[in-house]
Amino acid sequence: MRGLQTRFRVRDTTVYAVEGAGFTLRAGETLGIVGESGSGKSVTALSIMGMIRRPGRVAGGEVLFHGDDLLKLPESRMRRLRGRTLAMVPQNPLASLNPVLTIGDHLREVLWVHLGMGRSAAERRSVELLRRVGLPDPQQRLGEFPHRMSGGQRQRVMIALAMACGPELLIADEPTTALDVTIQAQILELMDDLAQESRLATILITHNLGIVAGHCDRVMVMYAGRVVEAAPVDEIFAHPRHPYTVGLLRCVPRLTRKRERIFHTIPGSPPQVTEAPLGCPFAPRCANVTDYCREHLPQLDAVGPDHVAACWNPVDAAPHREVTS
Amino acid sequence: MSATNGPLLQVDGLKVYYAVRGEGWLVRARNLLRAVDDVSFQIEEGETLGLVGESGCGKSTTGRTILYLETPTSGQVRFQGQELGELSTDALRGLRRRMQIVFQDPFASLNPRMTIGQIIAEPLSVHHLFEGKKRKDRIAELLSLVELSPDYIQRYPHEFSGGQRQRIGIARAIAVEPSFIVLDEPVSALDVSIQAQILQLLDGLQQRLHLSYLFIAHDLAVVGQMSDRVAVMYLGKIVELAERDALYQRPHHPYTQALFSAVPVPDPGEARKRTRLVLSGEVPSPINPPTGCYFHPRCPLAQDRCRTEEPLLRRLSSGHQVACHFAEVAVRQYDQVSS
Repeated sequence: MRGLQTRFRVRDTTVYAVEGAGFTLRAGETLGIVGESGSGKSVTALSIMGMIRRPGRVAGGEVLFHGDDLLKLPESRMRRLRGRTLAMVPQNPLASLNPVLTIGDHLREVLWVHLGMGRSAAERRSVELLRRVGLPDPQQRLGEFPHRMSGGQRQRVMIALAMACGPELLIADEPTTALDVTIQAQILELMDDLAQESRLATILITHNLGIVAGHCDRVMVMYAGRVVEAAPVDEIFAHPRHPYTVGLLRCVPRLTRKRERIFHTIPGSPPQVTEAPLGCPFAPRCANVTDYCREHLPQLDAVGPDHVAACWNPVDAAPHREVTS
Repeated sequence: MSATNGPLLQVDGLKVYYAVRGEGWLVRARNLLRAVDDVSFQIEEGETLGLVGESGCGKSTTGRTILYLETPTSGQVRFQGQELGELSTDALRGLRRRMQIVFQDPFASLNPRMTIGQIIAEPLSVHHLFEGKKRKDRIAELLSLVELSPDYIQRYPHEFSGGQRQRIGIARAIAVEPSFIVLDEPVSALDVSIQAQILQLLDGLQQRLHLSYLFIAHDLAVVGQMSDRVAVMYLGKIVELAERDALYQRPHHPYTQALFSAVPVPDPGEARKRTRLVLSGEVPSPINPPTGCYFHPRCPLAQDRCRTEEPLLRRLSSGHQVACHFAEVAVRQYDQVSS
């Protein structure tokens, strides 16, 4: 993906939801997209899936998937890809499941539409899928309605639906945010196993840096619709260079052995971008800000091997540096 | 109205049961949902007790009930030596000046048709405080206490971000000069960078205004930053209660241990090293809880005794209060794994 731009026109203002985001993802890799609400991470996912609806539109960029630009494909071809090759696990499964259809109906429909499976073949495959995602009594579950299940069980169903046709790319948008921690651990473990089994490329969108640390290979940090830093997971946690990434990592409350009464904060709150910014969008909250930052928009630039940041005045990596091998 | 000797708040054997509809449409069975089931704890002056647990464990109901926003099925709540259940409605309302609550959702808990000034003034009117000319000064003072501009008095809630709204909710709670506040998931709807701002504000206010908190949250890391002691709830019961550092260094109850193990750590190296203790299954229904220990169907240490005999909260030599027959075994295993 290169230079993605997605905008929403609301009355007389344009919201620049995503401006120039890009990344490269290989089979079997998991990319974590982190950012706070309004940073453009979910809009990025919807743009890749071709699911931006009016008043939004993708204004520029390209999403190359096996060489084809997904943004230019006709809707009929996108429809064939979605649910088959490109799959998505949403944050709120209840909103994505049809309340009057059973779990079996949902699975059968996907298997019939995309793979042309008949009734009995689809049923066999459905049972197998539900067993794989760890739902007890899979045969019985086929006749059940979504509202009768718990949040964790519904998310397992969504994963079964996403995996039904053997996708190559899975986008999970805050898949465990609505779940309790013990259930979250189960779901993330399941997703890790499935991704490994089938060499799935995964995009995991989350605001939780703990989830990123444990489940991603690469990380992309977004702020105000822009990518501000991207690097392999170990690199970004050990040597964060963008002041926003540094601030975010400091803010995260940790399970310390002793109580710490120190609160690291980032002053202010994230902006909503309604005009092309002149300077760096993080400048008003940044500890490293200079006059130059307020007037010149920084572009992504290499700050280390396989490590980019969009900052005029990146945080010095030296104090954190460990012995490089 | 200073307290007599003893804790600021004393909760004894608190139970909140709801009657719920059961199966069948003609003769409907009446079932009991045990939201809070025999909970006891106390809070000292100036102290923060953290209350953690997963959704549906009864932590919010506990918070609401100790303010008598809900009437307990049985049990006692004693605040500054006064038993709340024995008070008249008027006396209870008077006492509420001393005990307040901040809610989770800053979008739902502020009236959208009232200005910020009106929202903060409402509790002052109810309690006839700062009347006349002093009212305006008090509101300005409260806004500055929560670090908001006094210019916001005429504005409406929708003009504010989640973090700012939570500040308004806090200003409303401290307006009547309480000594105790229930904080019900006060930061869980907020982004991390905003969370830290609100936690810092709450911590500062506690020291400035000598407040006691019951801090209710599902996030162990957040609770650990804010609390002096922490209680862990599971299916309506407290399963472990200990000093903050003691609990975070050596959780005794197998459920507490699993809860800690499930929290994702923001450190890739440590995440790879960590031995995960992933709990199987889900929290059972509080309408039809398991026999014996409520946690036994998910517990890696469960024995026959756990299936039949309910463990009571008991104090161990380590100072932890734990409701587990095999707490000593559990903590020994924990020490081995984590060393």
